[in-house]
Formats: sequence, structure tokens, C-alpha cells
Amino acid sequence: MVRDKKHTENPFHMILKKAATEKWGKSLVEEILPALKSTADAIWEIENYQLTSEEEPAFTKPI
Amino acid sequence: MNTYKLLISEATKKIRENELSPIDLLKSMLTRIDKFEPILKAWININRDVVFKIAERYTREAEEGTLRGLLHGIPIGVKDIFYTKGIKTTACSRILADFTPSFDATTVARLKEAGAIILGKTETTEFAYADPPNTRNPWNTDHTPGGSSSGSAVAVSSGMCPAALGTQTGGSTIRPAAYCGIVGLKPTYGRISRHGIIPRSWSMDHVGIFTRSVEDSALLLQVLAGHDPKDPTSSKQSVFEYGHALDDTPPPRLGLLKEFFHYEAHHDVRQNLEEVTEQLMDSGAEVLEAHLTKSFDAVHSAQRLIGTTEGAAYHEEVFRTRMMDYRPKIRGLIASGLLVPSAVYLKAQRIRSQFIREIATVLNPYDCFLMPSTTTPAPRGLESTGSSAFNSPWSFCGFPSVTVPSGSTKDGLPLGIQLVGRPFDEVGVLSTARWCEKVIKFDNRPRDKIPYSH
Repeated sequence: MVRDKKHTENPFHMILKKAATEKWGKSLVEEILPALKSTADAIWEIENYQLTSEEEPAFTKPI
Repeated sequence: MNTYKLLISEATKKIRENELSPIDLLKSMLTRIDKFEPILKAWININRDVVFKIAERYTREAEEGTLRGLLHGIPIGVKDIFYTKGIKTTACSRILADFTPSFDATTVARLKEAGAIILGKTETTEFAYADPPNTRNPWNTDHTPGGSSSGSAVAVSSGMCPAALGTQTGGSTIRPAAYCGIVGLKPTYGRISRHGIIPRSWSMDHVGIFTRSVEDSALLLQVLAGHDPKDPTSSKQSVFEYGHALDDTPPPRLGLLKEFFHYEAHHDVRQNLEEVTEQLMDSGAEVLEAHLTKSFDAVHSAQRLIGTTEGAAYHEEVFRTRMMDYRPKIRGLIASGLLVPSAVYLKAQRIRSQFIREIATVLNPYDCFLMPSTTTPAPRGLESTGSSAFNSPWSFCGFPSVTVPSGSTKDGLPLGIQLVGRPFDEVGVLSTARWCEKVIKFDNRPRDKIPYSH
């Protein structure tokens, strides 16, 4: 799980908010802040996850 | 016994032996709906005139000894994201308020071919996202029934129909089934066709089955499983005799997942799991602790991100022009999902590959994993449908899972155990579930009065 320190330093909160303001406008961004935060947290955790070198490429069919 | 309390296995036997007619079975369900639908709000629509005529025809056929299939005359509810020919399919959204499909989803067509009567469309969160309907839990109407397949779970739990179809992308089958004290089956990804079902997340969407017994789940799976050329993700793996496989199952070997599932569980859930584990062991099951691997740490984030991104991609075109016609939670998820960097989406898929490989190895020595079905009993209020944290890892990896009712809290809210098996080993998962069901013996027959817990 993501550690608290990483949460406070997560740059994707600002990056996503800025991108959302440009794309959707300020009034919608205020309304969707919880979803933006949740998505930013997921991005940050995935960014910080260390895949092992032999990891296969991504296939969208899971099994 | 009141007809509405019959399981499918009981009702089909009676119909075969001309002790019960499809029309009487339907009438019993409609009476139940008339009585409790104003409180529970499980249905979007019920096409009474049409289903009545079908039931009359099927009654005549049964009297003449002609049965269409395994489900002759059985009324079944279908979540309102499945296409139903000539019947509105709205996904509980203003976006599709006037949409009537010109064909049936493959699952709906297969049910009809087997003689089932599509009773109506059941309530769902909007597009199977997070904005809840007003559906209430029959065990305690102040509590959520869970979601997104809210209406399907409630309709089955309350005796309005003996089975219903739902879907699962995170926890939308297992969680509402557990909150409502019934059996929920999410088969392996690709086991059941998704052709004609409105997508939530292409690479994680599963069809889910709601019934009141494991045997009934096996019966429905028998009808629904198998390759569909119209769904490129549906598997060509063999379909087994799921019902026959349930007989004479030896005590299973279970891998108990504690770690995350122990620490994240509410006290009542943990206590119930401990009691049930002891009960299963006393009856001969071997229960050993299994350990999660590194990739599990990123599973919930990766699952959420893939779901958000794929869902946003599906809605993108409509969202551009009708953003404000979506409800607030789904609006936020689509808007944020459209901003996810593609490299991060692909890394989430790579994490998924790693998790599938690792968790398959952990599962190898066992018949199934054992854990609670939900983090808590059904939460109070209708603002949220509860947490899918115990279910989303299994939607993410696509392994089959089932919830079996395992008891209730002191306030009378039901709890469930979740069993997870190997890909395409529905025989193993259902056999284990049936064995556990027989040991636990939870009484989930619909009661005459609602709420059940008062």
C-alpha cells in the first residue's frame, strides 16, 4: 500500500488538477476533486511499483 | 411451503412432475413483487402482460410433457445493462433513458433458449459505476444491498425471483450477494459471453450469477457458459457438467488468506470467519494459511486505474456533449479517467500479469482460497454501496470466485465467505462452495415479512 509520505508528496495531485482545469474547466474540477485525487493516488502508486526485469509486456486479455 | 421460497432445483423438479405450473410460479413471484417492491425498489421494469402470456404458453407445454430446457418456466431477473430485445435497457442513466435494443445479449438469449422467463430488468448503479439506486436491503431496509448489481441481489434475496444476472468489474456480484445473504458466482473471465452487455471495463467485466443455493448457481452456469463467436474474449475451454460435479465432494483443502483480508475486516466479519473456519475444519476441511506476494501491494490501485481508464474510454464520445447528464460520481470518474497517461495504464496491465502468475503459484496447493466476502456487513445508508476491496483482486486477475452465506451479525445482517479457485475450474469452486454450504447450513429462505432482521 502507498505510504503516507508518498501521499503528501504525490505530484500527480497537481498535475491532474491542472490538466483537468484545462480540459474540463474550473467549475467541474471543483466537483470532481475526490475522483481526481483517487486517480492521482493510483497513478502514483503504480509509478512507484518496481516491476521485476523479466516482467512480460502488457496484454489486455488477462487469462 | 410458499412457492416463492422454492429454489430453482426444487421448482424445476415440480414443473417436470406437473406438481407446479410456470403460471403459478410466476403469480407467486408477482404477488411478492407487488407486496415488497414499493419498499425494496429492486426493479426498473416488469413486463407483466408479456411474461404472463409466456408463462401460460410454457404451462401448456409442460402439461403436454414438452420442456424447453433446464430452466423451463423459471422467472429470472436481469440487470439493466444487459440488452433485452424490445425492452428498454437504460443502465439507470439519463443517457440511455429511451434506448430499446434490437437484440438480446447472448446470456439473455441462452436463458430464453433454456426455457427461462425474463421477468424484468433490475436496478443498478448508473452504468455499473458508483452512484447508487434507491434499492434497499431486505434484511434491514436502512442498509445498502451493495452494488452495482443492487436490484438483482435484492430480487433474489427477497423471493421476487429465484435467480438473477448481474455483472462484476470490482465487486459488483460477490459484495451485494454477501450483503443480502445469498450465493453469488463470478466465473472465470471469458467463461460467459459479454456480447450485448454495456461495458464498464473491457478487460475486467464478468457476468455474475445470483441464486439462493450453490446448486442453482451451477444450473445457471450450465446454461450460460461456453464460447460465443460474437464475444472475442469468450473462451473456447470446455464446458463441464457443473451440476453433476457437486455430488460427493470430499472435504476441501483451503488456503486461508489472512494478511490484508484479516486486517481490513470489520470485527464481526473476522469473528465470523474464525468461527466458520473452525466449523469447516471440524467437518474435515484442511485449512492452511496462504501468503500474498509482492504484487498484491499494487493490485487495488492497478485495478482501479484500469477500470477508470477503460470506462472513460467507453464513455468519451458521449461525455463530450452530455457531461452533465451523468450523475456526479460517474462524471468524476470519466473526467479523471480521460487524463490517465497511457504508460501508466500499460504498467498497471503489466502488474496484472505479474499478479496472475504469482497468485496462481500460491493457489496451486489448494482447492480454493478462503477469505471473507466483504470488509464489513452491509453499511447503513444508501449513499454508498460499500467496499469492493476483498473482491476487486479476483476481478483483476479473472479467477473464479463465489460467496456462500456464512452467518449474520448480532443485528441480523448476513455475512459471507468468499472462495477463489483456478481459472476455468468452476467445477472445483462450486464443489467446494457446495461442501461449505452443507456444513454451514445458513437459512436464507425469504421470510414472509420484510425486513428479515426485525
